[in-house]
Amino acid sequence: MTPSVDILPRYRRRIVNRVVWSLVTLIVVSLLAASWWVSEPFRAAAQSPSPTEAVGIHRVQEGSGQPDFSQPIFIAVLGSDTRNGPPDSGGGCDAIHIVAINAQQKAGTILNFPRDSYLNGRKLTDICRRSGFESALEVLKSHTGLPVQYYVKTEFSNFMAFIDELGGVEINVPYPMNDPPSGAFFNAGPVHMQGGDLLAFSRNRKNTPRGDFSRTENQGAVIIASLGKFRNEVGSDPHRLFDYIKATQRHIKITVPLLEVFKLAMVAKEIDPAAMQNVNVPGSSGSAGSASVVYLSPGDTYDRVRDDGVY
Amino acid sequence: MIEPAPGRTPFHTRAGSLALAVLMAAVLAACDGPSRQREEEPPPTAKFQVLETRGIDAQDRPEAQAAASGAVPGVTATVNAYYNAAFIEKGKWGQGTHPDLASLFTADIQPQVAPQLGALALADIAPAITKVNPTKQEVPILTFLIEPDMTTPLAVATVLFEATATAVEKENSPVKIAHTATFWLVKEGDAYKIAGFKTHLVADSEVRTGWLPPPEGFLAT
Repeated sequence: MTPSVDILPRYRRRIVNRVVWSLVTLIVVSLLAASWWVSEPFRAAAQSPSPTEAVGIHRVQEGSGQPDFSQPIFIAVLGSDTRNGPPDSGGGCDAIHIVAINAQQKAGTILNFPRDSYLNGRKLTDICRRSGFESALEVLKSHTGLPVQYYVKTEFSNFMAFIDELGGVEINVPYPMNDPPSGAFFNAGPVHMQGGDLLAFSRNRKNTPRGDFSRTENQGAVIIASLGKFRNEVGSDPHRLFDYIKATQRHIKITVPLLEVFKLAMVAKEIDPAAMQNVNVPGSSGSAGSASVVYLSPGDTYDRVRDDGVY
Repeated sequence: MIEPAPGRTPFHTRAGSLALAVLMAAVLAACDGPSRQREEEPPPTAKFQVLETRGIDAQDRPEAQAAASGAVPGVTATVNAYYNAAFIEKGKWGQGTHPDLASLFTADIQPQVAPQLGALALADIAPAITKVNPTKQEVPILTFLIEPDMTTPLAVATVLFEATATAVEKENSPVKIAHTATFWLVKEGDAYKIAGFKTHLVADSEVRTGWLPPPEGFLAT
């Protein structure tokens, strides 16, 4: 008979040994784990500055970026005297300007040309009427020597609709106006104008101190005021930018490619209107045959803006 | 033949050992639990939601809105890529140099990215951050310009991003991050690139121990 009495104690010892070692292992592992948990904050604290030295991470920073045109941009702005029609209607030029923008300086110049400026033996407005706006533009480029890359153009009805669609513009009327031919009836001072009023203000040349010169100067002021409105509105609501592009697409003939329009708009929203100079090209009234004309005497006007667009 | 003692069968022995092993495993698992959970968490990634989409069409065509909606994924892809590179994916921070960021901008504006990293991304605080968990990823308004052929070459997106970051120095955690941005975007090929931006970044630890108590007269008016 097998002496089971001798075997059982050995079996029990083996079991007990296993249990004891397992428990010891468990306790050791548990102690190690517990010590890791307990010591972690202390170790972390030891590696960190004391709480009284911690100042945390604090940063407030603003940034902005817009396209960077390395060269000044010159854009001709031409207004047709056609009363009704598409933006690229023919007609004479009632408004003639070259807008120069320096993107890096966020500044620029508006050069204003009287409608009756006499160039190449003809008035500019007549060149527009008889030879087309592109021909007038070529004459203007040749006369000024400025690298005009683009032009924008519209006529009366589209100009008014353009302004109305954008909610009008506030103009600081420089002197009282009472001019039935243009419909300009304003007191001096700030006036919020819708399209019709703005057109009248821009056309008035008879009830002004210097006739055609005053008119073209006022037109320049309209461009600058429009820039200020654009800057304010797009600055507070960036999505408004596309409302302007939409209105432009509807009412203005523009030779600037869309991407360039977009980039120019982003630059324009950064330009303080106070950094835009409104400059009349000097000249004097005279006559050529039976026609009253303006003889330009620009002096160094064009040279001053040629390199950087800033007068 | 060796026989177990009465009441001590091999089954009981195996069961006892098994129970012990399970207990140990449970204890070990409990000890290892938090880090294992951290490993199993998917890494945070940008998932921006557009709340309102507008299509601006000079011809006011009714299908313009559908064209705008169809273009949304293109912009969100760029916005997601931006925030992954700038804030969310630690592997893309490059110790604060954010090497992937510039490629999301048009070529002519890329030179303006590095000098303004402090407003565009974590930048120099990146080495002090271990993890960024987004809490808000919204594009409240996304506007597209609709061309006559119904393409959407231009977009403007206003963006809100908020997150809670964990700092390397535990005393500095949590770091609240709030980044607001306006991105003007142009489509180049299949992707939208950032052609202009205006951003505002606040990264702020809740701890201000070093600032307290305020210096004498600090609050005087």
